[in-house]
Formats: sequence, structure tokens, C-alpha cells
Amino acid sequence: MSDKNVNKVKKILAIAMVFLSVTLLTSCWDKQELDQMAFVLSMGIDRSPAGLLDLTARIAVPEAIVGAGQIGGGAGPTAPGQITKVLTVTARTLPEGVALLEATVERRISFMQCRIVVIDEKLVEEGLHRTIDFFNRHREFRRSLIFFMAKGSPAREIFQHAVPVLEENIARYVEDIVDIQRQFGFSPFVRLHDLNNTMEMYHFDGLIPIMAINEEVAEEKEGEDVKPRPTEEYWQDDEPAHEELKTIPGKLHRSGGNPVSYVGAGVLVGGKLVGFMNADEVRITELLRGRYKTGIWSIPLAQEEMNYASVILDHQRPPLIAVDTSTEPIRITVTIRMKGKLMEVQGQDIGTPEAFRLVEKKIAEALNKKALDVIARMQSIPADPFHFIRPLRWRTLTTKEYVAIPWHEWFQNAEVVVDFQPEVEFFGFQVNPSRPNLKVEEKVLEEPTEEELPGEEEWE
Amino acid sequence: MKKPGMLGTFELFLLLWLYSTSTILLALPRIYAQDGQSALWLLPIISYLYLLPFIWVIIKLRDYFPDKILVEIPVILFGRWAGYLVGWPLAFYILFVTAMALREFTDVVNYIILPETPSWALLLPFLIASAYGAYKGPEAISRANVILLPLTLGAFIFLLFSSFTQAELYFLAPILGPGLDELLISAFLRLSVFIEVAILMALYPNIRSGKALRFVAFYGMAFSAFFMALVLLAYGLNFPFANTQLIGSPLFQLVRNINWGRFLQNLESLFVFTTVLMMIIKISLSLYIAVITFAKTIESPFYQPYVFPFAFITYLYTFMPTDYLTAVKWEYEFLRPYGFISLFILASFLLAVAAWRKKKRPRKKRSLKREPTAL
Amino acid sequence: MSWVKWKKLLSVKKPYIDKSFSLPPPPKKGKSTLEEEVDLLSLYEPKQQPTPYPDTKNQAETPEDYIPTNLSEVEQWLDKEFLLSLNDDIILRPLSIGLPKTLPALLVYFQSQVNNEHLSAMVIHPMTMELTPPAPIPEAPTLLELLAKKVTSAPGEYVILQDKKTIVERLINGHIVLFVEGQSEAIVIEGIEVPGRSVSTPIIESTARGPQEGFVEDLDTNIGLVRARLRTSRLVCEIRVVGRMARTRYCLLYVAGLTNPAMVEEMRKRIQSIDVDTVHDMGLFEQYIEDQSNSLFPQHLITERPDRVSSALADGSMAVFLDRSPFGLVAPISIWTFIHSPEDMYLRNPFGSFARFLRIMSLILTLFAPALYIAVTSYHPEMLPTELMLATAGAREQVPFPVFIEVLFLEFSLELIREASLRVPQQIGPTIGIVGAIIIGSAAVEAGIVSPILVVVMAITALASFSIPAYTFFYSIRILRLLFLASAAALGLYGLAIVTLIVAFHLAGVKSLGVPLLSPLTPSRTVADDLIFRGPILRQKKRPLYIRPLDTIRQNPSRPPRSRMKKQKLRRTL
Repeated sequence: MSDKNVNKVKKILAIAMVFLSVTLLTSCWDKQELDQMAFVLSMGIDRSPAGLLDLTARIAVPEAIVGAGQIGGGAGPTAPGQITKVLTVTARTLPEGVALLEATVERRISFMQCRIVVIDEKLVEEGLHRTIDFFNRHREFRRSLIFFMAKGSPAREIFQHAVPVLEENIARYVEDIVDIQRQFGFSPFVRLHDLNNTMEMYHFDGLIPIMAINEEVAEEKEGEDVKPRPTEEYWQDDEPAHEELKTIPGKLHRSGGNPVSYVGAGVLVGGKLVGFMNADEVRITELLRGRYKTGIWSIPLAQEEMNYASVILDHQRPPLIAVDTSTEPIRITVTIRMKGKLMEVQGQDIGTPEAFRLVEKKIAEALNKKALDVIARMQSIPADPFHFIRPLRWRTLTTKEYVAIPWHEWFQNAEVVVDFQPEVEFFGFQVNPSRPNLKVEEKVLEEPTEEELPGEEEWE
Repeated sequence: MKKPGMLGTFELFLLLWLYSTSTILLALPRIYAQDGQSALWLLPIISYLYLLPFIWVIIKLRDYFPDKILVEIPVILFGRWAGYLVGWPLAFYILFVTAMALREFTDVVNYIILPETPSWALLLPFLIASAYGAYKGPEAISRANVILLPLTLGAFIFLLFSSFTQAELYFLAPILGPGLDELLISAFLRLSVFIEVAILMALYPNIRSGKALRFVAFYGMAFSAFFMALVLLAYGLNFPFANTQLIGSPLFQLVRNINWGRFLQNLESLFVFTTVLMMIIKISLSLYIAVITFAKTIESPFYQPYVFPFAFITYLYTFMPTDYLTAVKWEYEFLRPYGFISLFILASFLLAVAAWRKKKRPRKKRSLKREPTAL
Repeated sequence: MSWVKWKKLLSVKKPYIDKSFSLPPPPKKGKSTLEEEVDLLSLYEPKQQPTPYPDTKNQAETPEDYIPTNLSEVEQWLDKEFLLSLNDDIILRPLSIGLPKTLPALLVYFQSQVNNEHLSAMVIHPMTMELTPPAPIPEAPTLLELLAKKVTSAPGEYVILQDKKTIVERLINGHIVLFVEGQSEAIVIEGIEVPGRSVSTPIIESTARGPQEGFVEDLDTNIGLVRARLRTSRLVCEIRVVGRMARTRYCLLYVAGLTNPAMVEEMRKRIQSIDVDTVHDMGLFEQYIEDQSNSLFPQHLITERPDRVSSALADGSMAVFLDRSPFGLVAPISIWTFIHSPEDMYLRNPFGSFARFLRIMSLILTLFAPALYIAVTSYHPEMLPTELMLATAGAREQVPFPVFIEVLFLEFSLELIREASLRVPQQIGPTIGIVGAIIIGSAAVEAGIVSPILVVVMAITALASFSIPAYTFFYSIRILRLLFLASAAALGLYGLAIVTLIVAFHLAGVKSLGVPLLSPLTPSRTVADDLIFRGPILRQKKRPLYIRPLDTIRQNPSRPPRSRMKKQKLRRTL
């Protein structure tokens, strides 16, 4: 081998050494095997009584998940309490909490798979801008992080009480909640991104979905399982009929299932909690905002009791919002078109186009009333989670002009007209409701009496 | 010197696209957002209009010196000393600008995907790859660019499209941002964003014809400006104007928002892949241009021996700014604007002198062209 | 509006039936240059005179170079040349020619290269027979000519030579030489029959459709297989020898008037610059003429299918065959050739395109799947959906090694299986598969050495890699995969991107006989609708331009679509 060749070999060796050293060195730094990490699936933040922050984290136990799902064949642990562990640490700031968490768990904490954060009501009242900077800045959180507000009880409680009805996997549970949010709109779909946007954007106000513990169901919870209580007990909490159903998250009358319910929303102005909405109101708000997709509505058809029509109303086109600033106070007109299908009609014949129009009119009236109620309440705050400023935004040319609009004052006194235009298109398989024939009709329609029916005594 | 490899029009077009668009990957959208607020996407389009004279100068200059690069022109016109005067500073200027972009890139990548690897280790393999590309020359770089197009342009368009699906259309309004007058002024001040078009002056010998250059310079830059506008539009439609100025690495933040359902989200690592590809191609071309400028200045017959030393100098320059924000400041407040002005003045001056000489001695046009071979 | 105008809307105007026109029809577009009269010889004439075979032109200058007239001297000379006492393969058979006047003669040949029956029937038998010629024939002035023309009945060519060197050359190439006492020349008769197998099905490039014959070791058979598919007078076959010692015959095939002469010249130059004692096989031969023999990418197509060679020749490429090598070399090519299989063209457009798509996907998969797995699991766990990530993490809980070691283990064992199944006798070949399946499939998982998800990934990778039709490319893929694997293990997606680009830079510089391997994609050239996906057959009207053929049109460009062709009506004949 000549000298030249020796040099060449040396050169190649040197380059190879550099490469090797780089590769070997780097693998010591960032390489994290999956089994060296503890994945936080969800987080809760509370204000502790002492004024510190309670950071609650739900950490996945991958081995248990695999054991439950695949290899064992179903004999493994399935409850969220077994495939995940809930930890709480208290610290002055969130990053400090994370540091403490790292010290508590054997493995390295990773928030990469964290999909959901539950914030305590008190923290939202203080203003979200103090909390969310951590999430905005940290590389492991994305702006698609889902936020919930814990109402009525601390976020930590919610972690302790959550028992999904079907899902074994917490990650999928979260995804499902979000899907339901987007689909039916009982609570708004709010990401970190939306929180940031509504906080910073001029003249826009936001919502935050609420998670709350239903006291009735929470009482039924024993250990990891919810045991539905006997019917007698369930009836004790019954409320008088014919009243407007309460769709406030903690108060919904139900039994079994998940003690945690996620309906309703808090209203935010500049990231601060200023008011609440129940589930129905959130649906109306989603309609006004143009995010509504579908939902089932029951509307009283006549003044008579127990005479309802139920429809599925689907989103048809974005709402048309018009803001007339020439008047004093300004006038906001919202036109919303929806498509619907009948689900149930009680007692009344609707087999003609005219009757259909009547049903439509009734639905429109009912929705109108609900919408005006919500808007009036928001006007009193004042907060505009409906984003009614959108048409005005298009009419401004420069940002200075836009920022100068005194929207909240205008909105507070605005005259709002909401025009729902539901189009009930189809009636299902049945045109008119089945009813007893004319011969027996009168008899059937009689009020049920307290008397015993013939033959009933033999049954007892 | 070895006969330079020729770049096809298609390759050059895409190379110019990549070279000028990759600035958008880093801090640029934030800077545009400060200037343009809700109308940030209008800025590159307006800037492109201002850029037209410079493009015209570049095209005209090639008509006089079709097989020379920029630093060889003063030698022909004035003599050896002029070549040194232009060549040395230019070569190191290119290196320094490259190093600043590299620094911004490293810091962002370092934070996003490899937070614990020190940046010197991150940069080493990166620069080796870039130096290898520069060593192979513009022909190889442009071809590599074309075959990786599905991973760069394709992925980019996919990500843009994905982010448009989440856009809020009313973020577009107010349509003029801070006002038309301010837009026009800031577009002019930000003209140096398009300084990348000057690489064409170093690729004169690799371009087949004046027609190809004209096409690439006008339409290529127009495409780049349009593409940048599109990216900025995506950014502006996803974040309200109050927010756009606050985000440090805008495109990454944009990509992190993408959610195509359960199985297609968290695409930022994929986007880093695209970014790395684009940046390596960009840096290797920059390195090649710096090296060829230097080699031509010192009349070296080959440029290859200088590639690795220059890569090492770039590596050192990269660590000169103390942090990300300093690098951004140096790049956008000093290097780019003054570099642009100097290059524009230099190119127009050379063009004027060349035109004047030709007019004076119209018969000797041929000798003007032949002269360098005698030198 | 008048009725006439309305009528136009209702009925279609009939075309003119009168077929007489005042002007002749325009000349056909795109007439093939193959049909034109061009002086092709001047185009392809070698610029530098090659060493021809047989070396007849290199005449001897000194008397020592001529063969002796005396048979015993001939024997002495042969002994010196061939070491007769040691060399048992060469046969010196004395015989006496049965002319009216009996003459002693000497038949010299290599036993192994000559068919004995053939020799006996065609040469020895007629020679030794008593011959009574009616009269000396005027066309055969010498005795040897008379013998050659009149007596032997061998079908091959004969030459009468007197040059020692040339005779030795002929002998070692399997010819029979007949020395006759008193003659200063010798007859060289072709009687070669080299042992070898007969044409059989292709082994590594088998397809379901298409011809089922592959090249064999014999050069002439191989040329015959190609010529049978390309019966044109312009198919040139230049046969020369390569190797100082071995003198192996090779053949350069091209279509004159189609293949670019500059390329032919370049190929000739490269082959002639091979100055080495032996070139045993196409694999060696290929490395000698490659642009970059250290590259990771093959630069020629090595194929054993005659249909593939003939289609490449018809596109304007060249082919080279080497004697005793059952593979043909095709150059220049582009990298896309490696994902093409001849089958794609034989199937209809959608099926062919689908197969190509599948192959591209599997190429990407086999290159990147293990690397991506490593990168994602050890650097970017956020990329996976939570459930999948948790499942992967759960599967990994039992495994004590880092992912990289796990992947290497599997990769190594897969390579072992591959290598082992090449070596073992065919009878126990399936055993290897079973052993591999058991070890890797279940035992390794149960032992907790590898995680089940990784086994799935690696199995798909291995399967995908087998779908690549070009065997030489297969090696590139294996090496590249390891390269990507190492980079991903070192720096995750970042490292993967860097190495991808280095490979791309490298690939961009590789050329096949001066044609960039990546063309026609970049540098972009017109392509006949057959790059990654193949187009409809009727649209493939042009030859691939990156090979720069002299004639670019493959199909009559003015051919009307089939829908406009006149249809023959089926009629009942009775």
C-alpha cells in the first residue's frame, strides 16, 4: 500500500470517527425509550386553601393497558383506577408542580400525550392569563389541548370520581367527550388555542366547558364502580313534572354511569369567568355562533300538557348576522336556518304541509324565546360569546378602526332579533301518529283513575 | 476550471422557490405580523413588486456576462483589485447570513424535537450534510431538491391545506391591517426578505439561456412570493392579529394545531423533517455560493477544497449571536437590509458600466467577453 | 329563422363520400428514421480500431510467426505452446487423409470444447474416406481449400491460416485445427460445442405473464434469444474478447440508427479500457465499466430476461453479454427501471400501474419503516395516537433492550435467514423458513427479547423488500435501510432527514453511462408515459428521451384512436 493510500485510509477513518462519535454521543442525550417515560394523560389544577396550586395528574400504566386489552384475554384490570394512577402535588407554580411530580414518579414525566386539562373555577375567576402561559410555552403541550372548568368541586375530585361508562382507555374517553362536544354542542369545544384567541382578540368573548360531579350519581359510587341505587331511592329526588328540565351539569336527575357530567359552560371575558350557561343555553349559543351540528329538541306543541313534538335539527348553513349601526341602540339580526326530521309527535295530526309549517313555527318560537333569554343575560354582563361583531369586522379596513369600536357598550344596549327558520323536511315512517280508533277514542282519552283495574288484584 | 453543470429551468425554478421560501420557516412570519397585523399576507406580494427592478438588473447583467459570476465581473471591468474588493467581503457576508439562519433554525429545532441535545452536536451532522451537498455542486443540489419535492413542497402544501381547514375566515378582516400607507412602507423596508434572489448572480454559468433566467427570476420569485403569502395567510387565518406577534416559531405553532382526527395529529415532528430537508438544501447552496465566490475571487481552478473549511467557519459563526433573538435582530436589522442595498447598488453599477463600455466600443463586444480567458 | 337552419340541428350532415382530392394527403408525420437510408456505418464506425476477433488482420511479420510445414515441428511447437505432456485436455490426433495420395495430417482440438460425434461425422470420417476427385477443381487451387470445401461437412465457417498466434487463439476458443504434412497453412474449422445448460425459466426474475425463458451461460444462445425477439437487420452485435489471460468473449448489442453513436463509442471505450487478466462474470465486468463503482446504487440493469433486454434495445439502450454469464447488462438506464418489472407492460394499464404503485409504496416502506419506528418510539412519542403509543409502550415493558438493539437483532436474524436460504440445498430450504418463523415470530416475543409490535413492523419491511424486482437494487436497499436505521437511532427524525439528504445528494450525482440516474425526472426530459406509473399503451408514442435515441418515435403518432377506426362488422355467413 502506498503512502497516498495510507493517508486516504487515515482520512476515511478520521471522518468515520467523527461520525461515530457524533452518533454515539447524541444517543445519550435525547433518546427516551417509551418504557422510560411516564405519560400524563390528563391534568387538573386547583387553588389549594393555602393559596398554592394543586397539580393533579393522571399517569398511564402501559403494562396494565396491554394486559387488559390484548394478551390476557379480558381477565386483566379494566377500571381507570388500575390502568392509570392519579397523583397530586402542591406547589407555588405549575412548573414547580411538574418538578415535584418528576421527583415523585420513578420515570420521566411526559406531557406529550396529555389531551385534557381541568381547571378549578377559582382559578378561572382569577383570570386564565395567569395559568395558560405555561401551556403556551411548554413544548410538550399543543394548542389543541382541551380545557374544562371544574364547577362545584375541585378538579381533583373530578379525577377521583370519573368512571367512564364504556371506555377503558382514558385517552379514548377524552377523544369521545370531544367528539360529543362537537357533535351535539351541550358543552362548547374549547382548546387552548380558542382560549388564547378569545382572550386576546378584540371584542370577542369565550366560553369554557364545565365538568361537574353529579351528586346523585356520586353517592352511588362505591370504590371503582358505580352501583345504580334502587328505584325507590331514585324517585325520592324526583322533581315536579311540567317544569323546564334543569340542564345544569351538577343537578341533572340521573342514576348510574359516570358521576362526572360535562355539560354547560362558563362565560369568559378576557379570560375571566363572568357567568354560566346551562346545557340548553350552550346549544343555543353554538347555533348563534354557527358551530352547531345536530341535536334533538322537544318543543311543546300546544298549551295542553304533555303534548310535545320532538325533532332532530341539523345544521344547514352558517347563521346570517347583520348588525345595523345606523340606529341607536344598534340592531343585531340573526337568521338561522336548520333542517329537521320529526322524531315524535304526541296526539296531533300533522299530515299536511300546513301542519308542518305550524310545527316549524312552534319550534321557531320556542328557540327564539330561549335565544333571546340567553342573549339578554349575556347583555347584562356584558359578554359576547356569540361573536356578533363578525359583520362589523368585515366593514373595517384597518386594525386601528376595528380596535376603536366600543363593542361591549353597543352590544349591551343592542336590540337583538333572532329569526330561526327550521325546515322540517320529513316525518319518518309515520305520517300521523297512531291513535286509538274513533270508537274507543273517548274512552281511552279519559283521565286514568285511581281505581283498580279489573283483574289487577290477582296479580298482587 | 471544470465545465459547470447546467441547471434545467424546472430545477432552477424549484431551487429558487426553496431558497427564498425557507426564510418563512423561522422568525419571518412574526416579523411580518408586527408590520402587517391582519394583512401580513399582503406584504410579500407588495414586496415582490418593489423587487422587480432588482430582478431586471440581474437579468440584464447576464446578457453581458453569460458565463461569469458576480465577483468576476468587476475583474473584467476594472481589474484585479476590484475583484478582491468585492469578492472577499461578499463571500464572508454570505457565510454570516447563512450562519444566522442556521442559528435560528438550530435553536428552534433544538427546542421542538431534541431539547436535550446540545446545539453544537445538533449542528455538526447538519453541516456535514450541507458541506457534502456544496461539494457536489449546484447540479446535485437542485436534483436532490427535485426528488425530495414530495417531502418538501408536498408536505408543505399538505400542512398548509390542513391548517386552512381550521381557519377562521373573519381573521382576515380588517383587510388592510395597519393601513395601506403603512403596508407599502413596511413592505419596502422588508424588501430585503427577498435578497435570496441574488443567488442567481452566482449561478449565471449554470443557467442555460437568458430566457430561462428571465422565466425563473420573474416567475420563480413570483411563485415564491405567492407561496409565502399563502403561508402567511394560513398563519393569519389561524391566529388573530393580536396573537400573531407573540408566537416565537409561528409555523411550528401552526402545525401543532393540525388535527385530522385521532390518527393524524401532532404532525410537528413530520414538519421538522420537512424543515430540515429544506434547510440543508438551502444551507448547502449558500455554502456553495460562498465558496464559489471565494474561489473565483482568488482565481482558484476548483472550489471543492474550500468547502469543508468554509463549512467550519460557518459553524463558528453560528455561535456568535448569544441567543435566538439576537440572531434574528442581526439578520433582519443589519445583515439583510444593508446587504440588499449594497448588492443592489453593486449590481446596478456593474450593469451601468458594462452597458456604457459596450456603447463606447460597440465593435469590441466580443473581446469583452473573451477577455477573462486571457486573464 | 328558416327551416333549413333548424334542420341542421336535427340531422347531422353526412360526410363527403367522394374520395378524389386535388391535393395528395400530407406526408405521414414522424416517419421512423429506421426506414430512411442513412449511412449508418459512418455513425457507428469505431473511432479507435478495436482488437478484432478473430485477429486475422494482425498479420505476422517474421517467419517465426508462421507455422512450420513439417508435422513433427508442428507437434514440437504445440508442445511448447500448450505443454502437451501436462495438458491432457488438448488432443492431437494424427490421421491420414484419404486423398488419392495418402497424406499424414494432424487434427488438434480441445476435447472439452468439441462434440466428439460431431467431429467424427463431419471431419474425421470424410477425411479418412478414400476420395476420388474427378478433377482438380479450379475454385480450389490449393489442397487445403479443396479439403475445406469439398471434404469436410462441418456447418461452421472455416479459415485457412498460417499465423501461429491466430491459430492458438482459435484453438483455445474451441476450434478444430487441421495441419497437413507439407502445407504451410492449416485449416481451422468451427466445431465448438461447449457444455452448458439449456434455456430454462428465469430464476430470480420470474413473472407470471410474459416469456418463461432466461439467459444461459452460452453467449451465442443468449444473442440468439435476443435476436429472436428483435429481428431487424440493424441489430448490431459486436463480438470481441476481454481479459488478457482468459480472453472471454463478450458481445455488445445495439440497434444501429437508434442507439446514440456517442454512447456506443463510450461503451466501447470503457470495455476496451479493461486491462485485467480475467473477467469471469458479468458482476466483475459491470464493476469495471461503471461510472461509480463505489456507489450505493447500481448503475446498470442486470437481467436474465431476454424480453427485457430486447425492449431496452428497442428503446435505444445497449446490452452487453459476457460468455459464460447468464446475465445481460443493459445501459444506460434510469433508477426507475429498478422498480419496473416486465410484467407491468404485459398487463393492462390499470393493473400495471397498480403494481408499480404497490412497489413504490413497498420501496418507501422497506427503506423507512424500521427507521421511523425507532425515531418515533425513542424520540417522538407524541406522533403516535395515545392508544397506539400506550400499546407500544406496554409491549415494550417486558423487553430489556433499547429499541435500537431490538431492531438490530431482528434485522440481523432476517438477514441471516435470507443468507442461509441462499446457501442451503434446495431440499431443506423450507426448513429455514420454519425455523426463522418460530424463532422470530413467537419464541423471541415470548422470551421477551423483542416486542410483538416490532415483529410486525419488521415482517412487513422484509415482505416489502422482496417486492423489488431488480436483484441488484435489493442490495442497495438493505444497506440504505441500515443507514437510515442508524441515523434514526442517533438523532431521530432529524438524523433521518440528514441522512436522507446525503443519500439524495449522492443519488443526484450517480450516472449510468453518462446519463444521470434520476433522469427523466431530473434533469427533466420527456418521458413516454412510463416513469413511475405507466400510461395507456396508445399514449406511449415516444421513446424515452433521456437515452437520447436517434429516432424518438416508437409508435405511429398519427394513429387514430381505436374508436375512430373502421369496425369490421360481424356477419352471419349463412
